[in-house]
Amino acid sequence: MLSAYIPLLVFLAIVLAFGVGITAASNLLGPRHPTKAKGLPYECGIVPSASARRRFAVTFYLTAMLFIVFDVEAVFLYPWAVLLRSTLHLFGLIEMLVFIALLAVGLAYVWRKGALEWD
Amino acid sequence: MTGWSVGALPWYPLHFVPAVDLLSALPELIVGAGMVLMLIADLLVPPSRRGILAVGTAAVLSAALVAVIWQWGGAAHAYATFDGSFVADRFGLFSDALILSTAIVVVLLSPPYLAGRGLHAGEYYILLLASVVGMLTLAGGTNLIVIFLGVELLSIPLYVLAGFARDERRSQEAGMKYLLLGGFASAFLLYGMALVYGDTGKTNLTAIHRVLLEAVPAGHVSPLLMAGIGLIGIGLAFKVSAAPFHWWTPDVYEGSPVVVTTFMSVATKVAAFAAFLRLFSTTFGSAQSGWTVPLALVAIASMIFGNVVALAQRSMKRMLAYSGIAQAGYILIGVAVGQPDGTAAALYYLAAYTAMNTGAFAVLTILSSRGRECDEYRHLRGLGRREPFLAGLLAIFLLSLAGFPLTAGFFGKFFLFSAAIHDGQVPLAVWGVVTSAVSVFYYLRVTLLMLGQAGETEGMDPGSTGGDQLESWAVQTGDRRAGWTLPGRVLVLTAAAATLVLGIFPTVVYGVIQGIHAVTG
Repeated sequence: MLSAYIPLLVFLAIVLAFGVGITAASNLLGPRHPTKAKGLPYECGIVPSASARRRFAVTFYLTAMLFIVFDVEAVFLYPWAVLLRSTLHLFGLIEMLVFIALLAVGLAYVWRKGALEWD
Repeated sequence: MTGWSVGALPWYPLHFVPAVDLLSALPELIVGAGMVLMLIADLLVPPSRRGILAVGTAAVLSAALVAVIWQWGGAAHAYATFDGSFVADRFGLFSDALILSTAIVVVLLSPPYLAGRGLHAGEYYILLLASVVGMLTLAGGTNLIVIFLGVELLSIPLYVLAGFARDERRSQEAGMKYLLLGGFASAFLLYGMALVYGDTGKTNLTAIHRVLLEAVPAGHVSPLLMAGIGLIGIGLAFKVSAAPFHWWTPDVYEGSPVVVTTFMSVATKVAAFAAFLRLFSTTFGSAQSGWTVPLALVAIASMIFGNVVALAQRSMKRMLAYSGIAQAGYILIGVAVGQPDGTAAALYYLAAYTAMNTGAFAVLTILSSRGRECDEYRHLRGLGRREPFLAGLLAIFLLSLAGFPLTAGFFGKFFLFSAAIHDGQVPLAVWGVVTSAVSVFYYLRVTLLMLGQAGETEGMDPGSTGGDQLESWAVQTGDRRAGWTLPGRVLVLTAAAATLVLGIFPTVVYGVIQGIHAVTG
């Protein structure tokens, strides 16, 4: 039973060896000419304006959390839409309507409580 | 099969959608729908009339309790649904009834308490209902995934509820600690489930049970499976707060608002033990020789640790937390003994625990509804003179927790210890009796403290302050009627009556429980 996992173990060993090997090789062999610009953190090519270790408004966090909830809803909707006509039929439609109704109640709640306001 | 089965309807192919008998999940559906209704109600009801939400929540929970009782009649042979992932058997329904009763008591006692502490928000009821859905799911789950879902659904709202008094550092700390350690426990549980799945290739408890039935006599139980069972046991031991996995319990119980502590200490424990019994006594039952000794050691450690450390406490919540650890140890005896005596004894003890622990916390809630948390022992000094009725009720609950005859705790322990002896696990019974004797000291100490005078300073109590401050506490708590509402009175009396009935006529309930065994789906 366990022997079925041996290929996985071999794969894991190769992955580790490859990753460590490449990093070590480029560190040992590669030429290095550090300049100030090269040492900057890479953020899509834009020059950083301040340290990343500063305080962020908690509103970002709230917005991100709300985004994830509705993002996950979209993730569920895609495979559902593909399978609806072929396999799920009315049962799937009702199930998804219940799911969306629950999220809609959540949205109404978030809205009414003012969580969508930035200030 | 009673009720209508969606699986029989023609509008989709049977092979894809599992046979869904929605009626067997009726209590869960009622509470879940009720939660959504309360969410909408919270948006519409003005803040000054939040009491309506408490009434609505209690109505939802009562409807679910009625559904449970209705199902009980039809569940002589349990019926499984959702493709064998969930079952409405009498074992699960009994646990459901205990969970719902506790929740009803907590909800009806909450408004005066929450209003007194300035915490009366609608989210409280919504989170509580969400947690109840998780508990009911856990009690009836017969698939590892459903069981994990139940654990998470009951835990996540409780993390928020533990930190519900968000302006207080103690409560914040409780919420954070519970979140981190609860997440830790979930990881253990999930890893254990993954290992069990990895070895058996099944998540369905019936299928796992079948695999074990074949593997055990042939001696083919792999270490992987045993490791999985062990990790699941650790994850659940966290949830029932058994030693050595109990470290979060006292801090979380102490920091949480007392109504949340009530709910957490009783309902969570009942739900987690329902899963514990179903998994270990039934599903993993044939591999009992592998896990019974470690489990017995955990039980003994909980009994010793809980009872000994409770001796040194000065706070009611902390004392009841350590007492709860000890009670978890007693109930674990039932799990270690296994079917059928152990399960019946554990269920009886859970019923007794529900009555007496809910009762004790309910009295504390009523006393705390006057604007300040009534928690330290000195707050209770002289209660017997100020409020003889409440003090008397608290005394009944504490004596029952200690296991005095004529109370529920006595027969609870009696059934557990005799089940252990019949099964040949005498050390468990011996440790149970010895540690129970130790526990009498701290329960009686509080009882005697209530009989003392309010101004007295006691040499043995270094935490006590002068009489002046005690008097000022009594003055600040001024309005004695606050919290002593009609539902409060009825509920505390009901809990006391249940404690006495379980202690005087044990066969009434034991007769019902005896035939019950946990079905795996």
